[in-house]
Amino acid sequence: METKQFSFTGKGGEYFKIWIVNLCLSILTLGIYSAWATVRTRRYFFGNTWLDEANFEYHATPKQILFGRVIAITLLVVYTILSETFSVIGFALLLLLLTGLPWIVWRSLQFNARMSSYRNVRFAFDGGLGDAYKYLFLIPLIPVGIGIAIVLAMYPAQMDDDALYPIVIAAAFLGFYLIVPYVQVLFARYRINHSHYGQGNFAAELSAGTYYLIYLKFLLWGLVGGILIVILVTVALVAVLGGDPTSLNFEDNPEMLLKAIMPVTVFVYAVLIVLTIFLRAFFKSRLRNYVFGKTELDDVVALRSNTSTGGLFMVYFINLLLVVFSLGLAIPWAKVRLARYTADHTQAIVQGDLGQYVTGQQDAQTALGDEMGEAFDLDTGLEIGF
Amino acid sequence: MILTGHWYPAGSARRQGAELRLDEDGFRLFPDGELQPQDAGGELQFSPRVGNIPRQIRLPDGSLFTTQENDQVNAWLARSGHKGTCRHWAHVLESNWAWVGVAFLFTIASGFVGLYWGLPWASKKIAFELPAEVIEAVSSGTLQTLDRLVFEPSSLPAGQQQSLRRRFQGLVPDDQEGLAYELRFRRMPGWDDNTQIANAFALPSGDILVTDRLVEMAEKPEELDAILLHEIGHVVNRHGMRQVIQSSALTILLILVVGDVGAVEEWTLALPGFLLESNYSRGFETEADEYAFERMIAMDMDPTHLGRMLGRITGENRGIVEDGAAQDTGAESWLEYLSSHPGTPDRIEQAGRYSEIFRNR
Repeated sequence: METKQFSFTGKGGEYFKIWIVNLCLSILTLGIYSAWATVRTRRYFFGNTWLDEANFEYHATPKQILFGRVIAITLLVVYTILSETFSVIGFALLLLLLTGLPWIVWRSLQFNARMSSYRNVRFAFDGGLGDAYKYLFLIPLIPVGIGIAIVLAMYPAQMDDDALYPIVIAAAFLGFYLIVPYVQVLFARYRINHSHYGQGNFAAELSAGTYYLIYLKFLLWGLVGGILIVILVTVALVAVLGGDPTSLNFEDNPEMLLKAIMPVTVFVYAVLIVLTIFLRAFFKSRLRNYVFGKTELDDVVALRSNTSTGGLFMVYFINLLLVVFSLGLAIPWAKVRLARYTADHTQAIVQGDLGQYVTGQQDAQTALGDEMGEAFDLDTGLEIGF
Repeated sequence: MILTGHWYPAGSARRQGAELRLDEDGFRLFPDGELQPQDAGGELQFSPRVGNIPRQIRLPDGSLFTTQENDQVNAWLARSGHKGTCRHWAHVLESNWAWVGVAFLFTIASGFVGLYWGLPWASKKIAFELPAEVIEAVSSGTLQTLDRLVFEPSSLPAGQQQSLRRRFQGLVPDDQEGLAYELRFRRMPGWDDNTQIANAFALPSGDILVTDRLVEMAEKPEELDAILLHEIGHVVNRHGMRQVIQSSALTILLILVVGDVGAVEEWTLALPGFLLESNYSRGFETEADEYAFERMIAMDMDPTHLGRMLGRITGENRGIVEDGAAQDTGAESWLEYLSSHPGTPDRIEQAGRYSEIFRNR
């Protein structure tokens, strides 16, 4: 039994050169090169991620990605224009898109797994499409329906429609948010337990209770932060206005309002940024550590993650400063910093021979789902820690 | 040439240290120092170079040789004229600081040019190609929404509305391009019941909305005409549609360029988007002002009426809505970048300049 450390060997300067050439050629070719750019970027990040003196590889070809991208961009353009001009049609289209979402996610998981390899052996994902619809469509809708039903049942029929409408919406949202952690744990199980490395099977026994606990702590931290902000705002207002705020008459003196509000707004905005980054770092590190700690490949490899809220917070925070003050030009360094931190806090406990794995049968596949997922930024909602 | 690295049998993760010897006749593979017989005549497949990640060399039997000796691989490819060479131009660009510099300057310049001139130009082209029916369909929804959320029915007497509508027909441009210009009256409440907001809006379809308070504030009919001409200027120049097209395109562009930046908070993108849209919006206001000034001179009206009316509206609305107030109160000039309208003093000054032209003609 041996603990092996993941590592990332990419460098900000080296990636900057790739990144800027990618951007330049994508502009010159009106976006067509972006498919090649994506492949080069993925290969750079996969290829520089090492475990046990071997690196990962990404194998999709630009043409596969271009095909999916053309369709995704067409949809995105149609959707954006329609929703900006006719909000009703835009909304209907959004619903249509939501019904297609599980399919996109499913294709994306398959494609990305098959296009990844380690030591000459490909990963694979063989979860069913039906399960994707169950976890991402059916189950999230159940509490929404229950929430609406409860409100409708409890309120008297003569209730004013205008007042009822927001309550129903609120109930639907509450129902939805209550089930989010459960949906996430179901989806994480689905994703990991149907993943393969060659003929090997990944497995993770994840408990919904832990997910809810992480969410609860996340909410508590958010609450503490919120209270802190309210206190800070009060203190700041008193400090800026000096003494008794009630003595001020803004109507006769509009300049006063502006002078008082501007610095406080800027200050509160800064505190809010720090708080959101902290919450994000807390949530991601807890979830990642938990999910990785439970993930195993047969009885050969067990994964570990020891990211910390403070460590991840510093990475996010400095990345934000880098990107904002460089007007986006430091994005390559930011991405490399995050990749390095993540790799440095991931280990694999190997207690068998990795050489026993062989690639299974591979089917030809298009990148349709993958790129649609990318265009609509699916990663954010479905984050399980990888 | 001798490359050292690792060798994996076809489809297998079993790893052995190996040497790959390349020469004029072909290649020979030595896993663990012993020659591995290979079918003659096959070609090696080289993965394109990206940065310094290990090179993957696929052998004809499907097995894989990986090596970190990227420079040697490139040198051999160049020397042997292997067909893989032509796929390495991307790395040539990426590894040469001169090319990177060119790419850097080009990207910055085209981003600047595209956002400052390209996008406004393209959206203008498209907006003027749109048929009137589309524009009308867009506007009807907007009017309904505004009526539900912001406006109350007008309390101006019907007779006054009637005569103002008649006067409005004299301001409408000769070529209406299929749009139906119509003046509508609405009441717009302020924060509390006692205040009303003076404002005017133009929908792309030619519907022009004025609030009761604005009508009351005009001391002369020409002052109201000036405001209405400004709003007609928005319609004639298709500002509403251009704004929709620009912000749609901007959203898509931002997603494409920085969409995969997992390392950065997504919402930081909202600020540059907001600043750009405010900048476009200020351009539209100036354009609508110019339209009003020119029409006024043509119709024998003093452009100064617009300036005076703007000054009065801003003066009254200060404290009710923030629009324009920032400039007047002498706050830092960077606040201008946040505003959707140019500063009222600037607009009044411009009205003064046109007024001079009017008087000296």
